[in-house]
Amino acid sequence: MENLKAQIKFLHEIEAQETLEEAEEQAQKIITEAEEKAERIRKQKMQEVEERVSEKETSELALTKLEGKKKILDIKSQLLEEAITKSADRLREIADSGKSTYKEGIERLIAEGSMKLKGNEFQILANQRDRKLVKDSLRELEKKISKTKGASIVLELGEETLTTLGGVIVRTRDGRQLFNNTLEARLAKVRQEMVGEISKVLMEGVKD
Amino acid sequence: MAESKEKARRILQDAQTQERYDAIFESRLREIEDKKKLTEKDINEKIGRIKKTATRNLEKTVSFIVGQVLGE
Repeated sequence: MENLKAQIKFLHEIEAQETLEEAEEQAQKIITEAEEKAERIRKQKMQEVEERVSEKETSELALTKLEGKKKILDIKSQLLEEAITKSADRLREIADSGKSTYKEGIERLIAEGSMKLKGNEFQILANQRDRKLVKDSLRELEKKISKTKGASIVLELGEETLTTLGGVIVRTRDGRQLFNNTLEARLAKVRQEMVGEISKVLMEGVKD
Repeated sequence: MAESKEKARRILQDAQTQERYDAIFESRLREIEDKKKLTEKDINEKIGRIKKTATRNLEKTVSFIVGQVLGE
């Protein structure tokens, strides 16, 4: 009898042990599954964070760079305008000084206008200050231009007086064609047509 | 068993806590701000170099423009 009781007790103990082990296994499984699921959640959430960050970074940095480019362009444009303004001042100084540089310049401007226009008889218009300078140059210029153009050229001083920094307007005697070679017109033309070259000189040597 | 379920619940809750990811996001935003500041600094330095160069080249540029205007 005692032996039987011991056997039953032993069997119960084994059964209890097995139940405990199963429970522990089950508990461990619940935790492992939870950890695996948590890992998947973390990965998913981190991916969302990375996507938000990447989107933000792309847009914000692109905007900063764009604003920077605009700022640089504005500064370059401003510096170009300063150079143009200073050039206009310098041209005024040269014209007022009556130096040979200006006299030679006026002659080139008359010659250019006469060469560009069709015809052989031209009137030259200038401001009050330059009228005498122009008048004194006409005979000599007629010879030079006639030679270049291969025709007998007649130049005369027009009666109207221009309000200009300097330079001339060349027009055909019949007034049908006109070439504006005043300093303002020349400066505007140079600014418009040579902005690339001017910027190149102005920015020469700038390091990125 | 109840203890394990409670532990599993805490593990999942911890993984789902939004504050943790918001904190990471905020930290990354600060990194972006730093990059922006660095970019702005680069731009300002470049502007400084441009101004310096233009000042140095102004006289040469004026001579070039005047020469073009006078047809030299």
